[in-house]
Amino acid sequence: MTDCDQPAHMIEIGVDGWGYARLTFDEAQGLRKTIPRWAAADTAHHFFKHSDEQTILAVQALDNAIERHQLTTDFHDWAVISAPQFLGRLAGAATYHKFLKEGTHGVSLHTIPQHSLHSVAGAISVLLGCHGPNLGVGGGPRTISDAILTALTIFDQRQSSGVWLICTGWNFEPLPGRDGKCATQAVCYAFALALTPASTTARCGSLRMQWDGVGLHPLSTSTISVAQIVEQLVRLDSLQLPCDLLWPLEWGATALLRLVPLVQPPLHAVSAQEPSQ
Amino acid sequence: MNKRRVWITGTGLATSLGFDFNTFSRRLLAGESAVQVVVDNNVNGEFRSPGVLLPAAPVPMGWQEAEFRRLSRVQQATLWCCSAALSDSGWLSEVDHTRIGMVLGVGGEWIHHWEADVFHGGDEIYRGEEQHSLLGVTQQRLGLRGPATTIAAACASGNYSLALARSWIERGLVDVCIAGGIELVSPICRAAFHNLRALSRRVDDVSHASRPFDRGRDGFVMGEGAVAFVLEAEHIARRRGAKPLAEVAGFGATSDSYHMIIPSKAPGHTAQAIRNALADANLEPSYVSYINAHAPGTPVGDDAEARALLSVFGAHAATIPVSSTKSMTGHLLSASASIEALASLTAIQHRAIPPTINLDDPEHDLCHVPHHSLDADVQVVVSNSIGFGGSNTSLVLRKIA
Repeated sequence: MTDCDQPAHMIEIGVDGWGYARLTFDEAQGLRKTIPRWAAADTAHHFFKHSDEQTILAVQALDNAIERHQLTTDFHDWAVISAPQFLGRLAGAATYHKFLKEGTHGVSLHTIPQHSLHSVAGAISVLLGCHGPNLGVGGGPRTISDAILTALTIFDQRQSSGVWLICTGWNFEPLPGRDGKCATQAVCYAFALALTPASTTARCGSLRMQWDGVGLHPLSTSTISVAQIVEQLVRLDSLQLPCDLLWPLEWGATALLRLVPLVQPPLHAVSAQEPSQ
Repeated sequence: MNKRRVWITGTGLATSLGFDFNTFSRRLLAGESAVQVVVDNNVNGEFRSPGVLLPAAPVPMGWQEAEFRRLSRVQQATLWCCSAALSDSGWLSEVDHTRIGMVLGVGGEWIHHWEADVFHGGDEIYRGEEQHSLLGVTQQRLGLRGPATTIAAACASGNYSLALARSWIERGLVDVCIAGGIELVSPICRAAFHNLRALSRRVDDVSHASRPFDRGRDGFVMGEGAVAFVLEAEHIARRRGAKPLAEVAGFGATSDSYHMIIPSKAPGHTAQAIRNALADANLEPSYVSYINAHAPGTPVGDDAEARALLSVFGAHAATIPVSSTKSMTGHLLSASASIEALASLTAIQHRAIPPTINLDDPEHDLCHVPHHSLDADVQVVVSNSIGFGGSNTSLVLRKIA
């Protein structure tokens, strides 16, 4: 009864900028007072005080993209999609610990606003002054697939001239000790893509999803991680060669991210030190 | 691109007002309040607040009760809703050879998952070995093999679910898609919103605690529930003789870009989301028969939305009925847009507008429907949902002639 053989089996959009960040947990903590230069003029200096670490990394990746490509676009009507992974683990552990000890009054009012799935996108929307849609996607083990799928199809809303897609995740998760504090050597990764409709002249590449019309596939468990994509972007920087990242989505489609290198090297906002793993 | 029209052809629900559409509609139109006193025990003793709790979801067809009850509450509610929606639409027996997509609105999945686990003596949060999301479990248990995603825009999540599902059908990714939202409230979630001073403090008068648009409102009442819809392309629904409940005709979304917690008092971006939705549906404001407002019962939020409605609808605001069904269901956060889309279907299908109960002293000059439902031939509904931190959405549902 399916009719999926029409009208098209491919969606492609342009990439107008990209950037990434890779920081250790401690490095991320050290950036809580760093407000990016492009942030709205009235941004409070303590904006990141209660943010999740993945929000901080997302902003670093965004900053890297903006600086790297010298983006001067007006992002006023852009959408923001964030795809964090296991957001709020540390904050959650600290909250449970405090709740058990102090009861209702011990629960921070920032727990929900800063560590829900939408929180990273919400923060970027505020910082960058984006009045288009903002939403979080994924959140769990297959967050990249959710992110790609949503970013490629949200253009149908026709109400944004571009979409910032920012994916974040840990390679070694920041596992809390029983006191709620980070007890592992965690490394956080993030990448940001400035996506525009394919009809515009994208400067840096494309993002494509292809699927067959009628086939049904067993759900695949293979997936790609944020860390794997960031490592490819690091490689792109060092080799200065075009980069094709192709991976399967769970339902039988494939995603292809095609990026071209910059003539000039990246500027800043990338971890200075190679994280020890 | 010549877009397909997208119809809603099935519902599945787990709500405090019922587990099927007709029961929910009957109780909603009767103005029943589901609000009760919720008691959380903690180290300081009892914490009491007005709230809406969800009873255990029914066991879906084909499941053994013991097996079903071994799942978590949130998994039970989600599976029940999705299974019931597929059954209601006639697609349940077709899952093996149909690409059925799924968009699930859920905002605090992992925070709540870890909390429930910790309180049951677990240590998942300390191990970091999570492998299965709610979405994945639901897909696997129902045998769904289409594209799927979890999305969240706080209280606007359910409207985004419907919009994204519609987009997938328009694009030809799928012919059929489940879209919905779920919210189960934990003690820590209640505490966090209480500490934000967002919740009503009328713990000694809970049935009157949720009072959107009333001058005496003092915050919202948190509710639990889950709702799923089945969406499909019009031509497929027609071909198989499915009964349509409404067309998903328009969607608009904007962000305030103002603050992570505090809603903007300026109504401009909410108004723009409504205008975008009407433009998407190719409708003038005067064609709207009913507005299901977001109006949670907070002083700032209700006021900003009322001013947005006055701005968009102008003189028509005096004649287009407006109500907030949160007065009866409570505020379901991630699932609030979904339950309000369901209430909008109630208005279309039952030809009656659900009331805003507890609306004794309206603050704004809108065409309110206080206390009792209103018979009306509802052709077009605008359902607003505004997420925490200024995520504004508006959905247009249209009756199918």
